[in-house]
Amino acid sequence: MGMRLAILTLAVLLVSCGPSADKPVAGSDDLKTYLPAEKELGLWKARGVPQEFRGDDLYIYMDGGAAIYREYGFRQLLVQDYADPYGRSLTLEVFEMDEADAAFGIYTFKVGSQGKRVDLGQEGSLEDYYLNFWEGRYLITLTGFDREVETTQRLLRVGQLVDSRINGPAAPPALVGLLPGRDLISSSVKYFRGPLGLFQSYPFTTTDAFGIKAGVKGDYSAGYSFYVIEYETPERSLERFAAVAKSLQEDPKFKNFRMAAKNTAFLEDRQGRCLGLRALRRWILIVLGPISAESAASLLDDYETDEE
Amino acid sequence: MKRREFLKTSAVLGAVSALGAGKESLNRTSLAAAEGTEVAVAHGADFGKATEKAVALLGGIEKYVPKGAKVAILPNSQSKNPGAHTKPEIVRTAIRMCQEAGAGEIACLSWLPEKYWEATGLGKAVVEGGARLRIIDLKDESLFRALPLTRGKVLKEAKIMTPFFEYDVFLNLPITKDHAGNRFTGAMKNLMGLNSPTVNRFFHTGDFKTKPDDIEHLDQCIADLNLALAPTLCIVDATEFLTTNGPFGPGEISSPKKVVAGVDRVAIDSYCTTLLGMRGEDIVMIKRGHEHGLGEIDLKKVRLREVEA
Repeated sequence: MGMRLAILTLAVLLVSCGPSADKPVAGSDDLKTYLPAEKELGLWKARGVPQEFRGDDLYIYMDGGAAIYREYGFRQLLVQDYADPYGRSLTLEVFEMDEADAAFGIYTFKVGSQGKRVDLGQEGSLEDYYLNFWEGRYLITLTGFDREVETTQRLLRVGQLVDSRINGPAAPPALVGLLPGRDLISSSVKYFRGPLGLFQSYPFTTTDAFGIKAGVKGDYSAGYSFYVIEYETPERSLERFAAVAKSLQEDPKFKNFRMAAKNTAFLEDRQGRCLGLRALRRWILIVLGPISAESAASLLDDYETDEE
Repeated sequence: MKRREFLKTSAVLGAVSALGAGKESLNRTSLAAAEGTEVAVAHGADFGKATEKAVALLGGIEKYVPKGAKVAILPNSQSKNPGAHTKPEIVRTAIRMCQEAGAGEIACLSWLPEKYWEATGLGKAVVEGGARLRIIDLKDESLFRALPLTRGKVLKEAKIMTPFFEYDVFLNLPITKDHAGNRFTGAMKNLMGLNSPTVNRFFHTGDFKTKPDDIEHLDQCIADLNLALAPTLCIVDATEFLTTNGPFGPGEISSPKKVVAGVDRVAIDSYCTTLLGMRGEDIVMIKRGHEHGLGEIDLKKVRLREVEA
C-alpha cells in the first residue's frame, strides 16, 4: 500500500509546512485573540460586537445546524460581522473544536468538491461565496454575501489575518492514510466521527448500526467511493458488520443482498450502485459505486492483500 | 364568519386536537383527503410572481384566507446565509395576497431574536409589508402552551407559542434545503419554529453518542409534532437553497427557481425531495408523516400542476 504511505507522508508535510515559526502562539481560549485588528482591515469595519457561543449554546446560534458540530466535538464559536462603506458584508466564524481531528473532520464535512484550494491553515478551500480552512483545533469559516471580486479578496485577506494569529500545527487523522491512494480525489476526503456525518455522506441506515466513532471516505476517479470505518477491536468490527449487514438486508431500498463470506456482503441500491462491505481486522471497508460486484470484490481483495 | 370558523377549527384547533386524542386531527385529515392532494409549482426568476401563480393554481388565496381572518405566518429565518432562509419577496407577496383577500391582522410569529429577522431581510419585508413581527421570548416557558400528543410515538408533548392560538389562519412559509440531521428540511420541519426551543432541543439531542436510533429520533419527533399543527396553506421557497451544509450554511446552492404551494405538507415535502435528488421515501420524517395520516407520500397519487411565472 505504497500510495497510502504517500498520503501519510503528505500529512506529515502538511504539519511541517503549515504554520510558520514566526506565528504567535495563541494559548488563550479567548477566541477574540484571533480577530484582525481594525487597522488591518482598511475600509472594512467590524459591525457590532463579536458573538460567542459555548457548548450547547451553539443551538441558540444555528438551531438544528448545531448537531453536526456537536457530533464532531464542539467547544466554542466566535462570530464577527464586517461591512464596507459600499454595502458589502462578510461574516467570520471561528470554531474551536475539541481537538485537531474534530477540526479536520468538520472541515471535510463543510467543504465542497468544487472548491479551489487556498494556502490558508493546514488546508483551505474557497468556494463561490465562502471559504473554510482548518488549523490545529480550529475551523475558520468566512462567508461573503455576494460573488464580487472585492468580497472574495476580502474573504481571503481576513482569512490570512486570522491564520497569522493561529499556531496550531496538526496532521489529518492517521485513519485518512488508510484510504487507498491510487486514483484518490484528494479534495473528496471526508472524515466522520459519528452517524450524522456518515449518514449525510450516504444513507446506509437511519439507525446507528455502524456504531461509528471514526471513519473516512474518499472518492476515486473511476467513479466509486471507498470507506474505512474503524473500531477498537476486530471482534467489534465483526459484530458491527453483522448489524449493518442485517440492517441493509432488511431495508427495502436495497436489493440483491448476498453474503459472500462471514465477513463480506454485496448488494445494490435503488440507483443500481453496488455496495461491497467487508469486516477486516479493526475496520469495516465499503466500496460504493456504479461498478459490478466483481469489481467491488476485487477492490476489497486488493486492499486486504496490500494490508498483508 | 362561517368560513372563518371552519378555518379556525381546521388550522389552529388542529393543535388543540392533540388534547382530544386526535379526534379533530382525524377530521382534518379526512377533509384533506376529500379535497384531493394537490401541489402547485410555479417556476420563474420573479419569486413574488411565482408565489402568486402557485397560489392561483390552487384556487387563489381567498380559498384559504376569509375576510377579516387573523393570519399567522411562519417563514424560516434561521440563517442569513444564501439559500438558508425564506426569500423576503415570497413573504412580502404572501402578506400582500392576504391583505388583498381582506385579512385582519397578519403576524409573523417567532422565538428567534430580532437580529435574525434583520439579518435575513425578513423583518423588513414583514414590517414594510404591513404585518406584525411578534418575537416571543424563547426563555419564557410560560409563553408556550403544552399540548399532549397522545398519538406521538416519541414526542409526547409539544409546547406551542401561546400567541399562535389567537390566529384563524396559519400560513407555513418554509424554505426547502439540505439538513445535516436528516438530509432534508421543508414544510413539516418548519413547524419546529412554533414549538418551544427547549422541546426542540430534545429532537436533536437524543444523545447521538449512545442511542441506536438517533437519526430516526429526529424524524419521528418532527412527524409527531406535526400531529399538533395543521397549516392552512404551505408556500415553500424552492427558488435557491442549500444542497450541502444545511440547514445553516454556507454551502452549495441549487437554484430551481420554484415556489411550491399546497395544503398537504407530506406531499409537498415529498415533491421537494426530488429537487434535492431524492424521493419522499428516502426521508424518514416524510415516511413517518405519511404513516401518521398527515398526507400523501406517493407523488403518483398527487395532482401536481406546474406553471411558468
